[in-house]
Amino acid sequence: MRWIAATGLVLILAALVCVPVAGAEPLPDYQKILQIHLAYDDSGYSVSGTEVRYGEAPNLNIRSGELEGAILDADGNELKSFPLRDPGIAYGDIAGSEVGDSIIGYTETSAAGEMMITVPYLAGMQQFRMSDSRDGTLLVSTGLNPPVTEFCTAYPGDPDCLARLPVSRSTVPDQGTRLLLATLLSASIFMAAGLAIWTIRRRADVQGFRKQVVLIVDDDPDIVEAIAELLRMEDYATIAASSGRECLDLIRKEIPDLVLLDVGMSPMDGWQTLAQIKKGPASRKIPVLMLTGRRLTTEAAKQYHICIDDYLMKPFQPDELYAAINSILEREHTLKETLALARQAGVDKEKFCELAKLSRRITVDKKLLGILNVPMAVPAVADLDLDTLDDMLVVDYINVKTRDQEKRAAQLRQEINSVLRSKGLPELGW
Amino acid sequence: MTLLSRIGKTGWILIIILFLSLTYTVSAVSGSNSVTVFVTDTRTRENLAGAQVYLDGGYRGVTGTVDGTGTLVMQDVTPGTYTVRVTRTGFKEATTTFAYPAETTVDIALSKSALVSLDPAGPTPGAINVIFYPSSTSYSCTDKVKVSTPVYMTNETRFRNDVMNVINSTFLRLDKFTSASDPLPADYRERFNFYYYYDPAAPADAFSGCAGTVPEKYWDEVPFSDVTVVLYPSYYGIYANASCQPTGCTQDLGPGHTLMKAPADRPVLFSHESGHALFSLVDTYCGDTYYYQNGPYPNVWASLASCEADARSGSRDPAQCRQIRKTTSLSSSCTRNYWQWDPVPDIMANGYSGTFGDAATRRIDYVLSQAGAGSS
Repeated sequence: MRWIAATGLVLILAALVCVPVAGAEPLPDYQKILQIHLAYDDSGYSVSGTEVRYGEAPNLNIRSGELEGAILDADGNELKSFPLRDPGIAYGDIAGSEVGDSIIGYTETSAAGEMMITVPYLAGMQQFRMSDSRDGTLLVSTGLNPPVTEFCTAYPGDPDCLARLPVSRSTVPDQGTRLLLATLLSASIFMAAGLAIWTIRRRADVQGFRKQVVLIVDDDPDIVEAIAELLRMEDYATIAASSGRECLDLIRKEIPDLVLLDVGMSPMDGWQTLAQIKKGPASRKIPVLMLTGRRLTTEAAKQYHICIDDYLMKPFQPDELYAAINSILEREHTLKETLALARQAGVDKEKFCELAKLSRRITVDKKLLGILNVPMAVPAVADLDLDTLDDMLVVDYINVKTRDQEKRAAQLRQEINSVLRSKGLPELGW
Repeated sequence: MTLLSRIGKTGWILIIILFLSLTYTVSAVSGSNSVTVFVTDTRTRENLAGAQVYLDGGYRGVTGTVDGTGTLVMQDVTPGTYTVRVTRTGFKEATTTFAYPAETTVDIALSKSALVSLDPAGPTPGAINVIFYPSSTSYSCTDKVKVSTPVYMTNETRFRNDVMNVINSTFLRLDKFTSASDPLPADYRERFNFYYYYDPAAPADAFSGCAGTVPEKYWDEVPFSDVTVVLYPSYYGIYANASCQPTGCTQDLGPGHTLMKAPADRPVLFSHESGHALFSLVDTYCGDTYYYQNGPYPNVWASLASCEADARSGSRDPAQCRQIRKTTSLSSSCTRNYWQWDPVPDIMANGYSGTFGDAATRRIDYVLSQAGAGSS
């Protein structure tokens, strides 16, 4: 029986190959554009949306500016680059008197706003990057597979989508062999459809769920290797730096999803590195998880609590590391998802961002308070000294601050949820 | 039972495939598998012939042009859910979804686009796209406030005439305002596509923000704008003194999203502003503005050395490079660490007269030469 089945399958596959493929149709208007929505504020640029759609693009070659946008392929090769101007500056001219200053200049700068970059669709585009052409600083980057995949899901018959995910198209069989060919043809269609679904799913697995990149910074190569191995087991991609300087250099080239930063390094220690990361317009949004073998001092807590996303004491168990990383990355993911919903509902962006920042702060501060207030008998923090007045004041300060933040967050949450409710959208779950 | 158990997994799969094939065959033999698309004009409800129809992104043809039925029959449609996209010149494109075989007809109504091409022969592919947008606001020199104005909102012809006057006295006379040392391409006028966007229900506001604002839906409908000009009519009252003079402004929010505000009645100020918005020229007056070296082919340099080097390479006199400064009096002196070359009266420093100097002309020439060159 098996050989009959196998023969049948071979026949069907043969039919799939032999059935003539439909000829190319005339293509009157397949112009497509990629639109990248960026938000900017005093902390830098972030991608708020990407979309591929039908339409005509502006001319990229006529521009000038101090920023540079680039579209890259899968190998990182530049498919197209173009200059951009700083969106936060508007330059105005007022007509003056006909003699003397015939024009009076004025500028208006906006601390926050949105820009939209429209470029032609380019086959094979995989990544968008924007950098400052004066010093090469990477300002923002994003993958382009999701918008292309979304477009091709809606328009699988578009020539660029067919080229991307080749699918055989069958023609209606001739009259004379209708029954046989129809049988073979439809089997082919079902098989091709199955194959296409499998391919799409497989690609979606690869492209839609890109491995998250974790940058491990520690001057002990054994620790770096151990953590990298643990993360690889959980399907994270890792890059490593053995010093604060190397970490900052790496971040200028690639923005990771998370930094694991050792405190005790030299000459630049973890806190100094953290401060530099948080100064960079493109890097300040990267979540940072501090790793240390030492206790958290109240001084460090006071100075850096607004910069860090979590704090992990070495030695730690793998599960503790995974839990800390998952918590941070899931928080980022949830924020991005709910931001899209909030935009859809017309929620005030500033309010949403304030709530997002407060929510993160409250979570981190509570964790720090937990560490600072841990009973003296716990060995890892046995030498934690909260006896001094300064230390107590710091803990009180964080306590009070956290309570205030919780009140404000509750108020914002209520306002945002009422907007979401009015639009029939789900309320915030955080 | 024994026979069934012998079939095995592969056998069952084959049986299912054969069953589905037979179903398909019956369907193929018994029906034409066609879906008819009806395209109409939203306003007049009349049939629209000549509309291009795409099924799931694949081109299927145009609606009937001979019989004027505005219909297209799409053959060989297999069961499933599809997206139909319909486009037609002068109309906004529309999409809809349908499920076959539950639906065998698709009705799509197209609305007239508010975008009007000013080129009788239609737009030139790859040319520089300049779109004019009317402002429903102006400024009152009498009351010193922004005011609503019906001038453009109630009179499309007036707006169109103002747009044509601006185009004729600025863009189409560029050869008169640029340096003869670097002649523009003979066909430079054909390297522009001019449009205006007229929707009285969705006006621009020239006096909201520095460069004005236009409704969000405009950017969705017109993604290809190289410059969008928010044009406003004359101020109310008179341009009396320095406290009430027309303004222009440029803000670049990305390719396709460059906004410029300018008055309809001041061609030199308009040219100055389009120098910023379209040709990326930098101001050469000394004042509160934004300076940078706008390469390639800048008209402002970040150092004397680079100004001189560019001058030499362009066969211009390097001695004419000078720092941007103004020393009219002690109280109003101004110095910037940028250098200029173009002689006065330079349009990038003057709101009433002048021309684009050699350096600015070289940049304008470059932009015109790039129109459509490998931008897509």
